[in-house]
Amino acid sequence: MRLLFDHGTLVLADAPDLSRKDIPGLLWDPRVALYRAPAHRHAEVVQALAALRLPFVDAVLPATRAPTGVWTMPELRPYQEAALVAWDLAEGRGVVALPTGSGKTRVAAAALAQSTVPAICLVPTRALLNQWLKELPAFYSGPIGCLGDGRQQVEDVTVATFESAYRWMPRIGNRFDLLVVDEAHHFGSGARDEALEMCTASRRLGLSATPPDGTQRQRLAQLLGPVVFQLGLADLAGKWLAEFELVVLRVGLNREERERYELDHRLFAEVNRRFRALHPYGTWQELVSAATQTPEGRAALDAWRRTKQLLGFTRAKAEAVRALLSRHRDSKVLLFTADNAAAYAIAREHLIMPLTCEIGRRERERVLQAFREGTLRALVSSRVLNEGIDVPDADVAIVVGGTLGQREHVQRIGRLLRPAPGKRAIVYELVTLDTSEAWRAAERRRGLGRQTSASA
Amino acid sequence: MVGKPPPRLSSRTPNDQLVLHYLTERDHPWLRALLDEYERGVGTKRNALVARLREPLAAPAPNSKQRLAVEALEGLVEASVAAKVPPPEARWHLFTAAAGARAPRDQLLEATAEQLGTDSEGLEEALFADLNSERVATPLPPEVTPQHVATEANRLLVSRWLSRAQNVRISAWGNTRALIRQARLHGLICNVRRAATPPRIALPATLDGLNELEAPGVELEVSGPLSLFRHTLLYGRALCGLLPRVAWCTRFELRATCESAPGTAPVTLTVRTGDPIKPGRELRPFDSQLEQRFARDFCKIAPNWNVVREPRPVDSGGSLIFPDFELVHRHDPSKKFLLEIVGFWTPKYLDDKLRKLRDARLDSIILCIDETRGCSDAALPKGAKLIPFRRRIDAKLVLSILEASFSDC
Repeated sequence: MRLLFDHGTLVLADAPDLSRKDIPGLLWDPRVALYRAPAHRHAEVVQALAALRLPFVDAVLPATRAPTGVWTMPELRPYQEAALVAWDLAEGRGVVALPTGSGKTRVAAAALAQSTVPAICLVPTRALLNQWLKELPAFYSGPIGCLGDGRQQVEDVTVATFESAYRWMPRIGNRFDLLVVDEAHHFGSGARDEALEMCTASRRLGLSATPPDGTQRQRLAQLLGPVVFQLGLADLAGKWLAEFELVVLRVGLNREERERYELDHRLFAEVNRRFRALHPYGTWQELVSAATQTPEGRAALDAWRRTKQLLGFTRAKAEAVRALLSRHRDSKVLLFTADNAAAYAIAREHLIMPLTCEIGRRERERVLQAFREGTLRALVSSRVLNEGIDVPDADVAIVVGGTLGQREHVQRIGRLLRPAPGKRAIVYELVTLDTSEAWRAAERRRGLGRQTSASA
Repeated sequence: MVGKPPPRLSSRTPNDQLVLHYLTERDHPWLRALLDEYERGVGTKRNALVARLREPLAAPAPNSKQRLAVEALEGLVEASVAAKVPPPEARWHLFTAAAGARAPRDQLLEATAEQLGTDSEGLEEALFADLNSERVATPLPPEVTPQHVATEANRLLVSRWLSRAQNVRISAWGNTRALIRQARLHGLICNVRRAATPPRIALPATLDGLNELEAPGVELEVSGPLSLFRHTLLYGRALCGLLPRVAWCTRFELRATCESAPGTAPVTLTVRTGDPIKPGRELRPFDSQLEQRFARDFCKIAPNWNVVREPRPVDSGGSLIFPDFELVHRHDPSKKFLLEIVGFWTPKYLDDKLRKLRDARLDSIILCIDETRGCSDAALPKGAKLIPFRRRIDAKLVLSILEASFSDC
């Protein structure tokens, strides 16, 4: 009997009748007349076969494995060491939750250095891909593979975007013994989970500043392991992270904007009210799905989009941004918007460099370097700066708009908290009064409250 | 495309069959209006133009069809960058200048424009001209007609559903080889059986002759390995890739079990010959240079033998073998040999294969095995018509086997 890797799954060739045996994940596949199991259950299947005393050859991992380079253990802060020990004690499976700026990547590098096995690191964006590729050579002397951003090179240590991993895992899922997932909260909700299911790595490390709750957390525990170590902003602020102050600036709409807002808001609210009457617990997706069935519903959705666009960058917000930029012209400022259109509008009006997903890799690197060196003093972005990108010394953030709720807000504020002597960061949040944005902003601040006691 | 929800151009019958509302000739008047509207907007920003194309047209158009047609059109035309200075340079110079100075905006624009050899207006226009949202619509390529847009929209319509399929069953006659290769190439599990006698299917009058066709037929069941465990969209792209291939078959019927969203009741999508689906690029006559070179070499040295590119599949032990070539004597078609090129192999694999061929009473087959891809050093099975090769199949050796088998040739 041979256990083989087949396109992101395991198959048992020449197997006896195992229908009455309890082997985790193993199912009879009538399409090919073989037993098949998901690849991520490799260790369990092997263990179960051994326990049943069934003779088998485990041919899942490649026969010849190229020699790896040499790892250097990074220096760790006490809480990073504690995180690593917690992960070790959980048999190398679990999620480490640390706030942005606290050095999650370093914990991952330590896990990689300690394990010295072939490893694949998954990251959500091309920007993070390049950041990992830049950081890893400090700890690893061998070649580092890259899947994503137009590159397709697989090595013993490989960094891949989620999207590339999703497409490549059927071919390379058996090549690695350690799977590291940065910003692991993106998984567990169903989308792209297959990338983790098709990998045989038994040791798995998830990194996140904002681990999910509820069913997504349970699913993530199946795919990567449970949350084994967690610290919030409050735990590290002051010593390991900079202190910060949150200032909420409430602004209004001018008459013309208010009229447009009220008109569109009424249009959407009516359709929403009718839907809620029929489906009190209906999800947003269900509302959209129902609304698209009628011309009236479609008009309501268009109206909703217009209000979102309007609130994203109002005249009052533009004035507030002007005043704040003028006030902090000697600071390093990050501006966060709800969408790219608002980012470009701010860029045009205030002559600030935008950093969006549409800006190419080379230009993005040049811009970030200029920001680090101080050639550029402000950047405006909708999502690119939300996660992971290392922006070492920004000290002022202006949140002009946001759409992704608590998690996005925590991540954005985390951009400012990389410590520096005497640093006290300021976060300005612009909220339009008497609009749906007011409660949405209050909601996202609640996420911050969970992370830290520092607020204003 | 993969992962997007299916368009609303479909309805479900009481027995869970999906009826797709294709774009047809009746839609051509408003499609022409759509293209005219596009032509009017050439030179303007593409995003704004696309938004305008989604609004009511001069000719009344069904909303869902119009949206799909706009999406199809977006894929058929390109957008260009219209800027007096390269946009990344414009951004870099202007924003770094602004970061280091306290001058008013207009003054900064003027100074930077002068530095880049343009004017303030040109500089402002260039700032984001390379971003998708700011690119400019270019003229329609001559081949983009209402018919073309309709066909592309129909392909999108079927693909959206197909990308959500859990398994696909295809009955096809003629040109089936490329279809099977495409499925296997993309890691799909593809069970192949010989198709029963082609059923008469309802076809437009112009295509009714196809019912009389006698092409070798196959039945394929296609699904992905992971589909055994859960509903997954992982294979959506691969399944969509089958569509242009299946459209090359002389006759086909494709049935797919799809879910519009996870957890919803499955529905059966059926696409068959006569549906307005465009075949993909013309199939290449050869799958590899190796095959092409062999065919050329063999034709040169064996004028009395014809090389048939896609022979009928052969039954062997319950499964079907798809030989690469059939070599048929020009004057006596009863004299023929099959030739198959084997990729990775082990002696055991070859043994099994030859046993299956013997069971199928198929002796007139030559296996060409790549010496560089042998997976074992054990001895090759004896008595088989095996031609080892490296990079090139020896056409003379093939001919000598044929001549030895039919000594009167």
